[in-house]
Amino acid sequence: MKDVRDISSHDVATLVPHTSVARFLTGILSMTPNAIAATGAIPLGHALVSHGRAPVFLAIELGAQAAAAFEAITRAQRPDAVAGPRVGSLVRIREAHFHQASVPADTEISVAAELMGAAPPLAIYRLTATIEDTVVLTAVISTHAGPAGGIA
Amino acid sequence: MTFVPDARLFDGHFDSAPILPGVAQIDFAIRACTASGLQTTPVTGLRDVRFVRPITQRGPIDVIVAAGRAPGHISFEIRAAGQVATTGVLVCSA
Repeated sequence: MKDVRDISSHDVATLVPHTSVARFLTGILSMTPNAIAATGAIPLGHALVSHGRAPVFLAIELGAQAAAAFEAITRAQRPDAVAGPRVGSLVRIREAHFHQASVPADTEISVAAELMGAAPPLAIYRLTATIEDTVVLTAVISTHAGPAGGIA
Repeated sequence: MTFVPDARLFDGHFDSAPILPGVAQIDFAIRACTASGLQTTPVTGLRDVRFVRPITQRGPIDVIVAAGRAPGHISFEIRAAGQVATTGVLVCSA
């Protein structure tokens, strides 16, 4: 994956519409025309965190946020770009595989979202979430961009 | 089985138009599955989960689970305000 150093300067708040404990995305590592690598964490204060751990399927939400960031960055590079995050939808989890039951909260999770296909406003992404090089979840999701584009 | 989602699940998702996150719905499906006795082994995956209607209300939701067509598969349906919001399949380990 090509390193795009200027991506790291993006404030994720400008890329996804999620706020407070719903925002899992913490940074963008790199991006290519059809994939993004990002980091995130499940906040300790999230309602599904219990005894410091969160169900691993929350990483699907992190992956969806990475996909949203991918679309926001891609959108911003267009000549007719309109800045800012936009609300869209996770419309389908085609498949997901949990490699472990839970993940620690407030711990960095790396996520890769690869664009497998798109027929706007629909897009399909393959997600891989890892913690310290151990795969914790893989999934394939479909998203639907909101009225003005974007994914939530 | 009826659940009342924790209001905190809507926090930040999204400020302008709060909706119940899909992953929270998965959690309810697994909890209903566990309570039903259909699940005897851990849930290790998902198949064909479709979010057909956003859940915007903060009231109760109904989760219906049933044995799926394949071994270890449990189908679920989530209803909010009487309408189907989400359907899918939980995959349990063999």
